[in-house]
Amino acid sequence: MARFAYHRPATVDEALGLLADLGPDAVPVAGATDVWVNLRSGKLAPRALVSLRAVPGLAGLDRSDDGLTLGACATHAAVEDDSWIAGRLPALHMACSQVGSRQVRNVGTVGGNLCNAAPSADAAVALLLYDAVCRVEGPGGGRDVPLDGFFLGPGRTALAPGEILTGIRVPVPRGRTVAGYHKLTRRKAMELPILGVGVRVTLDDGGAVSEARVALGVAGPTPVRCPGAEAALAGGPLTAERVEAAAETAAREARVRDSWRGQAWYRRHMIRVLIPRILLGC
Amino acid sequence: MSARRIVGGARPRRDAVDKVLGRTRFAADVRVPGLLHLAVARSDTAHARVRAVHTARALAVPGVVRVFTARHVPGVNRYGIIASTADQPMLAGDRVRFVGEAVALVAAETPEAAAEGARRVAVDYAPLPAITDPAEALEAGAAAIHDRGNLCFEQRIVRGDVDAGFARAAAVVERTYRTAVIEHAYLEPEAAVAWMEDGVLVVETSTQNPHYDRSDLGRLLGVAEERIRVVQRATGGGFGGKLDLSVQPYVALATWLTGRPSRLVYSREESFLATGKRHPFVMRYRSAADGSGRLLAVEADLLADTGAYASYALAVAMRAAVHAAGPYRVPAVRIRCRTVYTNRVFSGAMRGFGTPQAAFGHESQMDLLAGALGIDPLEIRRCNALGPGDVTVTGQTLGDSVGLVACLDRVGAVRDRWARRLREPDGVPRGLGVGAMYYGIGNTGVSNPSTARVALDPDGAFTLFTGAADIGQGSDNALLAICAETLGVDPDRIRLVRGDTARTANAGATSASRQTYISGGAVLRAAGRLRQRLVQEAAQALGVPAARLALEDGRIGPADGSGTSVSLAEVAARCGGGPVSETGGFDPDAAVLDRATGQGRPYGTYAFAAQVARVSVDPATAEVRVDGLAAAHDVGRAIHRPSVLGQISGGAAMGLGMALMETFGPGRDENLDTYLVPTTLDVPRVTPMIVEQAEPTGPFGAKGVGEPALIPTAPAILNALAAACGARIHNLPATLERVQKALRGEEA
Ligand SMILES: Cc1cc2nc3c(=O)[nH]c(=O)nc-3n(C[C@H](O)[C@H](O)[C@H](O)COP(=O)(O)OP(=O)(O)OC[C@H]3O[C@@H](n4cnc5c(N)ncnc54)[C@H](O)[C@@H]3O)c2cc1C
Repeated sequence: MARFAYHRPATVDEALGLLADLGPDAVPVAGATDVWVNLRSGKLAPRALVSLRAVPGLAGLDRSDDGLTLGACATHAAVEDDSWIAGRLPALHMACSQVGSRQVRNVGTVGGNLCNAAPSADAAVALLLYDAVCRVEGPGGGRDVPLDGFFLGPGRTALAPGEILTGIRVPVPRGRTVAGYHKLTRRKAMELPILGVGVRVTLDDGGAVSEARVALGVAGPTPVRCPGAEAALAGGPLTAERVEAAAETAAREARVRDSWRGQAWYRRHMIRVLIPRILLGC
Repeated sequence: MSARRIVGGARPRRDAVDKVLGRTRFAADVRVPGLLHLAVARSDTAHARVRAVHTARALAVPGVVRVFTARHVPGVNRYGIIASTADQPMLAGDRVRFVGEAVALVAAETPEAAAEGARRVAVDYAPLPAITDPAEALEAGAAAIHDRGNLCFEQRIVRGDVDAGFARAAAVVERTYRTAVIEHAYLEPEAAVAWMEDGVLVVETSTQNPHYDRSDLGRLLGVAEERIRVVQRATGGGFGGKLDLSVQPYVALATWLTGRPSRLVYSREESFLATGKRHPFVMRYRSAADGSGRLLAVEADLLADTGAYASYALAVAMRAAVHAAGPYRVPAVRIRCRTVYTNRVFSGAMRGFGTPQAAFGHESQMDLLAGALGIDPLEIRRCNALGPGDVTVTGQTLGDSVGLVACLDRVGAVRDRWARRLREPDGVPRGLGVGAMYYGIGNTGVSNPSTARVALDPDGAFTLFTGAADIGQGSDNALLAICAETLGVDPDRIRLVRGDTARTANAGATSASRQTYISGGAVLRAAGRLRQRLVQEAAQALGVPAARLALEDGRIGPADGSGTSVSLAEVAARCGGGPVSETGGFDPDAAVLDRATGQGRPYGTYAFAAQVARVSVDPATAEVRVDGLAAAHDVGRAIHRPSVLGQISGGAAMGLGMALMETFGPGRDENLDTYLVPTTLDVPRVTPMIVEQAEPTGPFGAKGVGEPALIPTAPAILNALAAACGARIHNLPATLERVQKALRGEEA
């Protein structure tokens, strides 16, 4: 492994300054659970790592009536241990609680999960359900990027060079909501999903679906939403027929592939099966 | 305390505290000043003629000291743990036969320079057709991977009138089963350091067999064994994968040729790429039973892919064949097991030597017969179970230590308890399954002795010298217990010198579940002789007949407690002041199998076991949960109960991996992120049960348990899955896709 410098800036500005000075040879890092793997394999050979972990406030969880603001460096374990999140944003809680193992969750961050932009990112799929918005800071100032537009391809995000993610705003759905995330794996821990399925529906007072979100992991080059399935769910009651129709649409829309980890027919079938399971408990 | 409670007891192991505190020094922890770091350049092609190996660019890397290729190997560039099939070069000569084969060795001042040097070795290959399927390898006209052809070894077992058995059968089942390539995935990757000491090459390494290491290192270097000393360091698991040489030839060569110390530790990736695997099997089974479920005949044709080199293929073929019909009375068999060369990383020994694969076949067949005849799966096993005095498929008459029925009864009681809770109204498919096995202790059909020495030191303490490599399973502890029990002292009063070719005699490999039985037997005899000698010496000192004396708690005196006694230190002084030592040996009563019929006496004794698995299956996703595993093992006598229970639980975990997830794809899996082994969340609480049918030839009645622990697990889980899904899976592992198909009623 090549040698690199390790910087621990104490503020966001300092971090941005370092990244600007060091240029493309520097890589921001949080828990390093993805970065380290790539350093070891040689896929990544930066001259410097800029750790965001010492920046105060970046690891916080800020809960309010409107929603949750996750510091980019909040760990999966912090989400897992939070009963407020478990109650109001259950799909996010389920996703973070199943990342790797407890040891990985103790250091791996939600922000890292998003910035790494793997198609299999568990937390990313769950956050797509909640219309999360990324707070980005850069040399030119700050901006908000909806998560829906954050992923550009495998390992590619909307972050411009020198920009960092500082927080993730997650609105709490208003109204009766059913949501869940199912991570399909071959063993019970320490495995990326063969398929990640997340669904959220929020109902109006009349029992009709006012908002529907369906998101999938490992069903395309990035974590993706399924607009067709969402449209099939929205606007009517949450009946078995409508849920199954939406599941069928999602299964058809999904760009699942044959790989040695799982065959396409199985993945597609699981989309069909898991959306009703999450919404109807069957 | 009375020393007589050591065997069968549960004292903490001697190595436990150091291991828990991280103080144990493994081979990778040995630091030698001024050493050379090594890196191996490996083939990236599966089969090719090597036209030239270009090392100039590697030598140009700053820090690189030497680059070695096949032409630098001073001795015979061919090794292999079974001498008659030894065929593996330490550095490829004119041919590479698998991706990952060593082509050149780079020695450098830093690990980075060594790695960079290895990257810069360029090989000029003339590609040859690569064969990846063993059936294809046997076809006429297939490219020959070795000069002697692609059939590495074939073992047949023929007995009785098979055709007559099938002719009068009430049920016949015929199926084909497949198992996967499996990686040992021990905690500690291969590691060795070497240096010269007074003209002797010292190699400290992680190994299951220091004496074998020394002899093949001697051949590779063209050096007399006396000039080489191999010391086994604390070893973090082996499971058969550290029987073969791995890193040892490279440190030996580098140090021998440069005179400088050297070190090589495989990364996990290199361990995956370049070291032995479990043979994948294709097994065609045909089994016949009469109306009451009694087996009449078994026909089994087993084809195993041994990859590029023979390694342990011969032993795997023999053992798989001997055990292919399972632990049953079968009057007629026609069994053939062939191990075949392909251009895949070589397969060698792995916990069970082919028996776990065969058990998947014979135990699936037993359930199919039971189903065809409407007989309970436990019942059909009970009515066929080998018992004392029965004759095996090789014509061997068993002795008294045959505890299979007891094992079946023990797991049967658990199964019946579980069966009551099986049908819950939640619609979740659940199932129970049984697996049974027998397993010959020690090497198949050959002499495989062990020798041990026990000395009384001048201070009145003892030293046990054994060549038996403790690879984490606890042989140190078991041998010390046997020694202590025999000498009437606390095990803490015994020093241990282990696994050092300069100081201990050959104990044979730590494999084949043999060290407790065989090296334990050697220790028992050595300690017994020493005890006799000391008692005689004390008898002279005390003027009391030896027959009336007892050695207890470090003193020798009248057994009835009357009169005076002498301390061991006094006895030692009487013997002349120096250490007093005795040697003992044991070689199980085994004899070579007939070449044509496989008849003979392959082992001195057998372990027996039965396990029951309880599984539930998600009806939609096909995710499997193993909810319970009950495992009853006839070990003869448990020398150290916690170790036996640990072996059973660990073996069951490994068997679960074989059943549900483990499958190695060359080129695909290079680490534990994609090659999945079970985690603690995947393994249920195992209910281990010890059955003790004492073996008269074993130390205190002991046999073995290391490999038996794993063998019935996958069969039990797969039988439970068949019960839960209603259709059977014939291919391991039972992936989500295969279970999904089984849930739909398709055979997978
Ligand atoms: C054993 C193991 C198991 C795993 N299991 C899972 C799993 O089950 N599910 C799953 O989804 N993932 C899994 N992962 C991947 C990884 O743990 C997660 O993606 C984790 O959330 C990454 O967070 P991190 O803080 O460690 O990221 P890092 O490794 O620190 O960073 C990841 C990437 O994001 C960038 N980055 C990080 N933070 C910022 C920021 N604030 N601004 C800009 N860029 C940033 C880095 O430059 C890097 O490119 C596993 C990893 C390992 C090693």
